[in-house]
Amino acid sequence: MTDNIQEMYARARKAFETIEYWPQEKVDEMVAAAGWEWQKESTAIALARLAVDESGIGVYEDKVAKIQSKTRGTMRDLIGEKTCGLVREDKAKGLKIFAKPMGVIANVVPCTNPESTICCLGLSTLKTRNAMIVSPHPRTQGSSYLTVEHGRKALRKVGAPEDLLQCIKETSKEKTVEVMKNCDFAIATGGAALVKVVYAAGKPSHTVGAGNVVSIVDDTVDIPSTAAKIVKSKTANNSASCSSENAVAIEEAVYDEMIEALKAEGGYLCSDEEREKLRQYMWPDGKMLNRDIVAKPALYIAEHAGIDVPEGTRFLMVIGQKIGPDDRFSGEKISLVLTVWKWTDFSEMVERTAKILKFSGEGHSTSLHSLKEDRQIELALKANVGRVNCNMPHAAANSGSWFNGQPTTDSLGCGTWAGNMTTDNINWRQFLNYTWLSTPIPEHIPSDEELFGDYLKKWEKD
Amino acid sequence: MIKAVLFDFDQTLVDSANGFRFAEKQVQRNIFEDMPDTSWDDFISFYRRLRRQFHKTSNLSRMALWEEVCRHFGRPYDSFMLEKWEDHYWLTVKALTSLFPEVPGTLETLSKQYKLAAVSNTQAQAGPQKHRLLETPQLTELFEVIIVAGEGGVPTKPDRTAFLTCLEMLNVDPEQAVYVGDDWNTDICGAADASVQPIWLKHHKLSRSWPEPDRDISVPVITKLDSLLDIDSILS
Repeated sequence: MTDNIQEMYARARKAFETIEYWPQEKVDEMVAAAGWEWQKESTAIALARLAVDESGIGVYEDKVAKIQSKTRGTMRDLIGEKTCGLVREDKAKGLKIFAKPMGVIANVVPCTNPESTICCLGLSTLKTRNAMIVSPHPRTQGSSYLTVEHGRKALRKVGAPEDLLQCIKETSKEKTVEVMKNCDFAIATGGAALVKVVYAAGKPSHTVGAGNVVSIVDDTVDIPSTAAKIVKSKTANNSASCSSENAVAIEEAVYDEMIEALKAEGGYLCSDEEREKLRQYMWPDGKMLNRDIVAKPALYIAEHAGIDVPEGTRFLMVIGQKIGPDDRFSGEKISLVLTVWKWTDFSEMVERTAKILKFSGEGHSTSLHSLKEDRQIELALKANVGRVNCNMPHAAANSGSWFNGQPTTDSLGCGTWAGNMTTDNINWRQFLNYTWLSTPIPEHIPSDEELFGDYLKKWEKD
Repeated sequence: MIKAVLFDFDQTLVDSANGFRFAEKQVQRNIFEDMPDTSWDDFISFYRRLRRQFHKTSNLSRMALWEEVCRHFGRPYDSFMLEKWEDHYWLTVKALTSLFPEVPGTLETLSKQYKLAAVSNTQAQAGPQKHRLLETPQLTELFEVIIVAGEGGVPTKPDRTAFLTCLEMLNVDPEQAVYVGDDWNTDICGAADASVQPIWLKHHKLSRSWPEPDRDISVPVITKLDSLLDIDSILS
């Protein structure tokens, strides 16, 4: 009940050593047991209720759905994947590649997804025969602990060591650092400040970055259904997700129609005076986002900002004015506030998006609603993000869904743009070491022609 | 001369108040969800009334309580459902239970001078699950005796049998021991009935209303466990 990190690590290590050489079938059974337990409706309900009660953020129904879909989505990604023993062979090169676990992995979990982050990463670390110690967020430590308890129960059921999953009971910054220093690898889902803490711990690690999704809309799409997709995504779990749209950028030709469609979906467009009231409430010191607004209902935000909005308002809209610290609405808001931009030239909007991302959210993701494939490709080529999602509700699509092929996760790598090691949706592939077994093949030394043929033809040897 | 210090578990060594509160709320919502024709106020007032009746008769079984509530309102249920609720109930209690921070150090110090023991009422849990007290090795290794009243033929507190059984196993007379607990009825009255000096712990980290004593028992009050490091001055 007290957290002795050294003891927790020792127990995790012992559990890890028990399963270090387990065959694939036994591992898959263990993964299925945990997945089944976490996706059960009764489990998801219990976890969602506790998470909402503890943190006071998010929407209970959305959380139930998310815990279930993230768990089942991760299972979908894991089915049939080989993670034990010989996983790849290249006979021509005389190579056999063996997958190996890393050991004990520290998992630092955020308060926005204190349960589903554990479900996704827990299944991935079990699939790769690793043990995991969770360091929960102080606001939601009960929810994370309960999630791990359900996982441990499932492990006991199939005779796997329960200490493969452990959770710090009473968390603190010191314990988070200590667990990362003690473990063999760390994965931390949180903002830029956490990235520095993780790297300071000095262990190999994966981190993630902040979001600030700009959703660009052009005149080729059906406006009412596009507005519905954006609002569905924007309002899910009261915008707790870093994949939630923070801005919508509308082509001038359909601007008025799109604004009306967004209003029809429950959007309220703030006047200049209301925008200023909202700004003062959201950034009281002009810099730091007021944490009280995070994932709170739109009516709560409007009331506290002193704005009268009609009953049924689901989110607030403000017109974007500047990019950067002079206009905080251009950055990430993690709330039911959507910034609206207007554009006429697509390439200019792509450049503007790059500037917005440079200020906030670089490396994360962006969205496009357009039927023009060349625009989709232009955005993918020019935007410094790990993911571009087209014609989909972004929050649902970005970290894996039933209607796209993104790997399921709650941890989105944002590449070197955000100080991360990868741009991947963090999944089981990030938790393996490989041993390359090499045997001799007939020697072949490539000629100059093979290595430099095209170059030499054009530029000659001197 | 005091030779032994006996402890209750919940709200004495651990803060589990939120755990029990939330776990019970969860089950109440689970039961109520399938009762479209009943108001929440009617439901909850009946639930609380029945729970008081159960406690008065020392019936601590949650499953029995929930079954009776379901039966009263005609809410469909089966044994599988009751077991599932109880399973979630205890997982939630465990997730939201934490040691009071001063406990490990205080017990460690006391163990050098006194015999330590725990006397806790049963969790009244179906199945083979152990009392949570037994899952805390850092505490249990300091206790010479652990009595789970309500199991093994020992009646639940406030019956004095549990206290006397513990003292007999410690080979200590009642006047040579103190009992530390948070509950007026089960802990303070129970210990007094066994002629053991009670100490009433009203822990400062708990936010609850404490009952007015309805019996004339001489009982010192402390608000944190490390006050026990000077037992003599508490008793004087």
